[in-house]
Amino acid sequence: MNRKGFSFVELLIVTAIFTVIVAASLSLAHKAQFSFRAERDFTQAAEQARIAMDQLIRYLRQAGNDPTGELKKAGVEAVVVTGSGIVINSDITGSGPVGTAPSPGNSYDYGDPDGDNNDQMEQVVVQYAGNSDNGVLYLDIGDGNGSQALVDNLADFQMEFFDRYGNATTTDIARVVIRMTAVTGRNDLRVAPGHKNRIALRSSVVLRNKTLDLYEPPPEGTPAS
Amino acid sequence: MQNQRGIALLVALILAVLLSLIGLSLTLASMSSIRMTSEFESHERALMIADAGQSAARTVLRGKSINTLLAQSTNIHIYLESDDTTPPDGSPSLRNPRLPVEARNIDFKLTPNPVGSRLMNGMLTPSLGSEIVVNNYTGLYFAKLTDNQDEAILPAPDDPKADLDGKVFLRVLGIDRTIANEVTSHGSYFKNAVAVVETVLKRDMTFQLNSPLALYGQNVSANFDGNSFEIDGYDHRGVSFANLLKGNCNHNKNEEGFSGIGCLYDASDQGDAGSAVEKLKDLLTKGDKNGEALDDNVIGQSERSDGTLAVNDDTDTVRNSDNPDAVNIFNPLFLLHFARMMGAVADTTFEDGADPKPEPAIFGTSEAPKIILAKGDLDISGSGSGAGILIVQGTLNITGAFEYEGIILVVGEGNLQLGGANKAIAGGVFVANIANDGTVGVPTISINGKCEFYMKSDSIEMAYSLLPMRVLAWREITSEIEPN
Repeated sequence: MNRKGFSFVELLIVTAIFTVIVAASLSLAHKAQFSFRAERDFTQAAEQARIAMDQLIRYLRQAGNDPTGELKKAGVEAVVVTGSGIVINSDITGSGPVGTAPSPGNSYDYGDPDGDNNDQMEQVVVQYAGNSDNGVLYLDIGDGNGSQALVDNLADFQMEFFDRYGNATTTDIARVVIRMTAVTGRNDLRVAPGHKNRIALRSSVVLRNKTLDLYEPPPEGTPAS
Repeated sequence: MQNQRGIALLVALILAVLLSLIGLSLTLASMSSIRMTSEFESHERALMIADAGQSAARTVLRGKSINTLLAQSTNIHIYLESDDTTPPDGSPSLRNPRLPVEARNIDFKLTPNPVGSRLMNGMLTPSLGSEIVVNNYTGLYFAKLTDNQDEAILPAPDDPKADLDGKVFLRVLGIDRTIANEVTSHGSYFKNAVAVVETVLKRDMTFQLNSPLALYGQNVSANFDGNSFEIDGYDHRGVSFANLLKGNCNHNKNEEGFSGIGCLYDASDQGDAGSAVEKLKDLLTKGDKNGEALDDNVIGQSERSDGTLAVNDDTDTVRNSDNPDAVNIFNPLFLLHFARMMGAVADTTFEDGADPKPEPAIFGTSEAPKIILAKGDLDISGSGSGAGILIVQGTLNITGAFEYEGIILVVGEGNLQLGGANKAIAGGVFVANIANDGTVGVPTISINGKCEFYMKSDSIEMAYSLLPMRVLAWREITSEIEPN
């Protein structure tokens, strides 16, 4: 039977080695924590920006929807460029009260686009308020709640406008290119003390209502193709 | 030394746990990111499928009567017990080919037992939808045609199976099948991604012509040679082309009559197409070079009313027409654009100066009518026949025997030369001289030898039904727009 215990030196060495290993593991865990946090921040920032982009794309895609032709008659443009953003006009929802039976004087076309752009989601006002890394994109869909922030962590937001022939324009817009750069709220300490992660999104949206009618002749003065 | 072995095990274990924790956290973060992106992606894909389905469904409409399609009924299985199974009368949800809630929850590859069924009108796809491949990705789409219900004069109910204005709704529901990847590890599972697209389609009826020969311009240049041609403005609707050719068209003068030759020019302050009409009447009354009068060779409405030649100024008829597209015919830019755009949809395109061989040149048949575009002059020197729409941007010169049913548009140079062997055209011919900048010039016609023009409104309808439908409006139906 060997009943001899550890010598003091032996214990000291073991403890020292153990401390070093634990310290190393803790620093690793700490880094992992940073990593996790940074990834989560990034995912959140990206998600916010993507949702905003998705919303904008949806409204833009059906901009200028005008089945009754009333908007065209009234000279309403699908997309109007303003100082701080755009106004998207369309006639996509019906305004008739739910369940109303068709009768004279009561729109037979309940639920149909009704020839105006006053209903919810029909006139959408998009505004961008730039502010270094906290730029806010506001959306007013006409539901009475005014402008609501859609995304508030943008470093950059830009739109470019083109007509159906691909020329840059601000009238008779048929395609919009949107660029936005989202920034994380907290710094990513893995990279550098003051570093924030960024994600840049770009989308090119074709306004379906401005490009689908094969029969519409090009405006006067357009050279023959 | 034996004790240190135990420490090594412990250290290895701790390290392993720590490392796997780090790994796991990273994986979770990227997994949620992937999941998020893939949800965006499947919705986009569902939308692409719906849009592709929409294009496919539009091709089904080609050459078909809208009323026939609206009236055809399909038995649709219902898979979900739901209050929304039958939307209320007048609800736009009735235009859905499938309930979106059903489309999200049912795997159409492994359908459960149906809980019921109902008959639906205007379906363009079978009960279980049609498959379509978009960017190597297979999706499922359902399409339904619905008449717009704003044609009837209120309070008379509108017949949902009858279309009056050529305008219909086409709703297409596209499914990106993600339901098969059902995952329950997080207590959640995927549903199908669904997108519903609604378009307002309109059949273009610009070329619902009012005469077997229509000339667009303030003036015309015409040459009639010989007494063997006939331009017959009585509507031969319902008479088959074969019977017409055999001469079995004993129309009586009480039939609905159109002009024999209709002149069109939209300028009321300059007397519209009055001078063209005068010129033609003058030519026909004077007769050909042998002095033979030709005034009984053009028959139709005018002849019935006051016994004069059936050459009319049809400008007002078009202006006051119920057909909202009719006035397009006064827009030279529309006409030019139309002739060019046909390049994208024509079944056959001929280059300038083509002389289609071998004989006989076939430009479609009554069973399978075609859209044919000649991008310049077209010389048909041998025999030929056809049905559908023939668009010629240059001079149309036919010297061989030729039989045609449908619409012939000579738009551009606007020069129609008919001579030589026998010709018969049932439907309508439209001649317009328009320069590239949209300036309207003088159409030229030369008729020589035995040529027969028969007004036939059903052939004209058959021809313009071949044209692709106009897409007047496009919207994506979301649950915000349409809660049920």
